[in-house]
Amino acid sequence: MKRIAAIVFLGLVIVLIFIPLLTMIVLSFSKGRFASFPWPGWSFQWYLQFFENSTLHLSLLRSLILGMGAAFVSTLLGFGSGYALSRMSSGKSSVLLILFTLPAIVPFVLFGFCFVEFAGYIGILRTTSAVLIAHIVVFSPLSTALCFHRFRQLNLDIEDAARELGASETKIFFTIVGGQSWRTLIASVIVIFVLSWDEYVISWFVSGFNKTYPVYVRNMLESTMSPEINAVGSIIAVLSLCLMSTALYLLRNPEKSKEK
Amino acid sequence: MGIIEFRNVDFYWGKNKVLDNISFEVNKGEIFALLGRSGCGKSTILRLMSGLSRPSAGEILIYEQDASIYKGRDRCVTTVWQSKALFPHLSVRANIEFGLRVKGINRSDIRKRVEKIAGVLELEDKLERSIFQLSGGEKQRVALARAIVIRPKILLLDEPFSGLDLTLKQQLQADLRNLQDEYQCTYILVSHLMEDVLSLATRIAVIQDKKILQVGDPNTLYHSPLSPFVAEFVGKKNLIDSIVRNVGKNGKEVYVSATSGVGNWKARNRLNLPLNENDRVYYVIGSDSIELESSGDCKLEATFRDREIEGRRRTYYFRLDGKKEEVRVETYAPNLNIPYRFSRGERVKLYWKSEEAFLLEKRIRDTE
Repeated sequence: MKRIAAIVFLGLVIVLIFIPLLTMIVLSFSKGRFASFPWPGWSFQWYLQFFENSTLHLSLLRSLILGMGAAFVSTLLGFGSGYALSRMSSGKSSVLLILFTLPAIVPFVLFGFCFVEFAGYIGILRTTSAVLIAHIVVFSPLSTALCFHRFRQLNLDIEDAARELGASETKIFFTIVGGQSWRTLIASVIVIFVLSWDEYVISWFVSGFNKTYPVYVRNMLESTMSPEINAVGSIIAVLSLCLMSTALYLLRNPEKSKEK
Repeated sequence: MGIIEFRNVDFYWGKNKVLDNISFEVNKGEIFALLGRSGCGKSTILRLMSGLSRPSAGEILIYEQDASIYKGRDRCVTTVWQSKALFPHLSVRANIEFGLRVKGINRSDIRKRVEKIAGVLELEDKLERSIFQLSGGEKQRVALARAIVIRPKILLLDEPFSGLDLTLKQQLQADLRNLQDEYQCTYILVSHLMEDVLSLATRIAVIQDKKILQVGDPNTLYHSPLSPFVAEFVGKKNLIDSIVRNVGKNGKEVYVSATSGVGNWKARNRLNLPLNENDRVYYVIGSDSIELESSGDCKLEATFRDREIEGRRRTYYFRLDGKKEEVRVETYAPNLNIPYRFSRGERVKLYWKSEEAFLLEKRIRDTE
């Protein structure tokens, strides 16, 4: 009985989570412009329309480059800072970790607003670089936290063993620490890419005419309610879902799962 | 001249003193063991030797040069870690090769040296495996291979026998002897179990409470301990709290009586302690010197408490009267069915020869 209740409950939660997504995917294949009953029939027309919309392509490409840039730079920063924090005493590292995480927990509206001032001051306002810097600032703490937790699991004797065999500190950092943590690093790149790719608020403040894809879509919604958005949304939702699942898979503790 | 020498070394972890005035010397080709209970500072000595930590005071010399000059590729000390510390993301081969690659040795030499060590340690068919596919004993052998393949002058082994069963322990001891013939290196090993090092080590340093109590060959430590701790820890001796009653003419023969009043005995003053009447001493008698049936000139009646049986070896524990003191008797049964079976609480007579007993000073601190 308890088991059935648990399954029903979990089922309901899953339905609740996925209904908006499923609605969007179903509507993206609809013949009609609006959600209506009876079902107007199936069609690929919105997908075809999306493949012809070059402005949308441009914004997607911009977001893609931006997301990848933010993901790699943030992960590199997180790798270094996470390592430094993980080798400090618990007291110091927890204080610093909170300090590092602050930019990520300030509401994005406030952060975006402040960043506009800052970007204007250093003369990069309304450029894609400004969005890139903003994203690195807000997302790198996540990478720091991910790396920090991974590095804390590592056996320090392993680094000492490498040191003793004659390895330089650089070699230890990249091949021994990095080698044991590559899953976390890839997961961090993926997670930050998906977050940066999807981020709207800060991009809206900072991007100007170089619109990223979420800003473009938002503008599109204001002017026309084209079901093309459902098509784009479906593709991106499925892609994000796959990427995030990969990231979560990589973040399992590799030692634990292997040593069964 | 020793290959490695500690001169009055102190070490602090933060504000805690971990090592106090440690001095000793290890000679080339020795198997030197650091023996002590966990937390006595013996692993810290290994870290200092390998240069991963620096002493807070004193000097550590390797080949008469300060240990700190051996850095990076010049290091000549490697460790087989208690945690094995294998690189989990690398294959067995890549683990063993690591030190050689770092030293920039050419590929064909690396291959030859790895194959050779793998041959000695029976790892040939495991070279391409992942670390996760190895058993505990195999991991230990990979760790040993990785450390010794770079031909270190000194190999440190941190609790190499912990977690291994008897067969694996014996195999590892044989491997270590074979490798020493092959690679001519000096071993320094750390252990908390006397049994693990007694048969392997050429010399042993017993450490207690941050200090070295005694350094000597296993035989000396076993038969002539200089302190109660060494007597109990290495020699498994019985220490009976006693009072000196009478000192013989040349000071060699001493008569004592147990403070608990269980008996009066004779002993040799082997260490030439300056003893006077009424001094407190430990009357020391080996657990393998006590017999349960044949007679000796010393006698004691005690209460049987418990026994341990390990193959032909039997260990019996007897409680002395009035106090918490206990006497341990170790015998080897001629066969497995011998009838020494006491019931709990039974009064048993124990015998030994007075020339096998000796005395150790009892300091106030020892009673704490």
